[in-house]
Amino acid sequence: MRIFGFHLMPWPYLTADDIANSDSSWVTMSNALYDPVKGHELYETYFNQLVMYDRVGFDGVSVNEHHQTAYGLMPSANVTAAMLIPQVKGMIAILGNALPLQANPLKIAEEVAYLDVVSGGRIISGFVRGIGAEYHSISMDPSTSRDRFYEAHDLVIKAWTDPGPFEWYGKHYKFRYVNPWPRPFQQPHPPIWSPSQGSAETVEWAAKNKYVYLQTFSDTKSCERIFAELQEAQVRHHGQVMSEYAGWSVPVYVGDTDESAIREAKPHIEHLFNDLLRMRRDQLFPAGYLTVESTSRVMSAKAKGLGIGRKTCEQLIESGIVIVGSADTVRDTIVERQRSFGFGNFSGIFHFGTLPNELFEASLTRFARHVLPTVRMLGTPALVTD
Amino acid sequence: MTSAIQSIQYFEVAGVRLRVLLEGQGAPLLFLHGSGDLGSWPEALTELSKHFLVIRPDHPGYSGSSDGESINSVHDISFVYLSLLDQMKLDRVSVMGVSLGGWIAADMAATEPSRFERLVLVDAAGLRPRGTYPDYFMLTAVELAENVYASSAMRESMSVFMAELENDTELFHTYLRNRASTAHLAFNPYMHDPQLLGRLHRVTAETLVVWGAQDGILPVETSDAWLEAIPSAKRVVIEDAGHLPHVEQTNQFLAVVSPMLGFRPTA
Repeated sequence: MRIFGFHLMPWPYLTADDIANSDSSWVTMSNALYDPVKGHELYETYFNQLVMYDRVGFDGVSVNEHHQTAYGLMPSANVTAAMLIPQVKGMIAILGNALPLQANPLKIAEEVAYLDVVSGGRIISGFVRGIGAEYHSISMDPSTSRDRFYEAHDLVIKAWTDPGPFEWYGKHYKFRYVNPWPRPFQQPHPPIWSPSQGSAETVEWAAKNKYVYLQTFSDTKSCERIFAELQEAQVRHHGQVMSEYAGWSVPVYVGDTDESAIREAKPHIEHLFNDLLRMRRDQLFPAGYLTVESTSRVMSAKAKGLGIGRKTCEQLIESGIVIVGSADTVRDTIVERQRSFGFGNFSGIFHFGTLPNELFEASLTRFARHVLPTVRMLGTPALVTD
Repeated sequence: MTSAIQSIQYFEVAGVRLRVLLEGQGAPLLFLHGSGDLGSWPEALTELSKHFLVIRPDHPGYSGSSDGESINSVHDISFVYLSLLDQMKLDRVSVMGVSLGGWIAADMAATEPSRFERLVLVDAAGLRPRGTYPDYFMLTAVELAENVYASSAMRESMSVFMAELENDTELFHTYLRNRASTAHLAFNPYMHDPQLLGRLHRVTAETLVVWGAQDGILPVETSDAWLEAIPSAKRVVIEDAGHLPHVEQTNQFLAVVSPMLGFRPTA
């Protein structure tokens, strides 16, 4: 199994008053709360943490983009990846570029190819629609999101694989000349990943295209259902289950004991889920972002989406959204989930919320020493047949 | 909200199947609903239909009408409705539009001015809002009710209605679909079309701008923008009314529009 370390680069300095004075950490939380001097030090810490994933032997680091929010301070995944190329030896997974938010998706084709060539083929290219709130953040009509995603994807892939120049006159994008230089180092193009919280359509799309489907921030029950759907779709399209095209992303904290792990991780993980992910319902699911049927399900007052309603660390562990515990507990949990879900890629989020650097380093060190050697062997043929 | 008297007719116009409610006879009055309308026949229309042939379509993408593949703006909807008038063989009409419907009405009147005798804009979207206003697309259904209505009685009863909306699957789906259609038309630029401002000089219809004094969606200051763009327009502000004065102060609304439309309300 391939192991990745992910980072969100959150703003950890929100006070209780800042949180009380705003109904969301997205879109409308004033950037007057951002302090660039503290921000400078913070980026240094966060980049060191990403580099540490590489140093302890992970296969890759993963980064993403978010816009106008304290939740994540990487407004460009590609810029982040560019800074990491000389600092890490392994893969860099861009998870991902939010295609529909781009006025010009050819810029993504150019930039990712650029990164791929400079890195000598170490780039994984994730494509996402962007979180609902981001349609508010950049004033993009959410009702065209799905359509724009597919069209931008088709355009980028064609730009990478068909010799240019050619014309593109789609519904949303129009180009007289598509002819990006450079072309990608990896042929026909960098591996594509599709991070999602489990939309049936995305699962189907990823399976059909042989893209790595990466399940993020989800409880065990949802994961079981979604990975089963993924495997069913893989068999339908390709005649076999392909664990190398399945991935699971989850926040992880490794302590000395289960008790100390929960004690140490609790305030920081709860800050992530309760304060940083906090959104108005119509921010998370803006008008037209999902189909009417899906919106109807998730908008119901009974629905308990992430970012809506408070959760404790213990509840998050219990439902399987996070893994917190001793090295034994974390290792056993990943082994058990891998057997149950069947993923061949694991993306751990070892930094979350307000987690101080010393706790991050201690947790990751324990993981590297006691968990990594076992879990990286998972999903290989030798273990699958045991 | 919808009484049983109206006839329902369907029209195929430019690839859109339009559901149209009709009632009354006489001079045609096209009524264009607002974005939050769930396919209703407001009480004011029952009175108006005693004097006019009232034609109330569901907009493309709303309630009983189909989506239009080629509908990407209010201007596109204008062309659908101009073609609807062609199909109905109505050369000259008066048009009354509320909120989003006012935006469409103004756009039509600027696009084919000779066709419109009178234009009634009620708390109309279409020009950049003025004053302090919430983001319609951030509001929950209940918050929407609280911002749309001025009187506490209306706020309370509509908040209850909106809170229970999700229990009525069909109506809730209509609400969500209409809202997605509004996002497609009005997410950016927010609730207006900068191009419209430059076209309104073409309007020749006698124009009345009606506004609820306590409009919490498009503040009453926004009516200034309409008077600046259509200098011949007259304005009436209705007290104790929010975004939908024709619903909240029906009698007063009818009294305000009747001299201009040339009828005497029966109530």
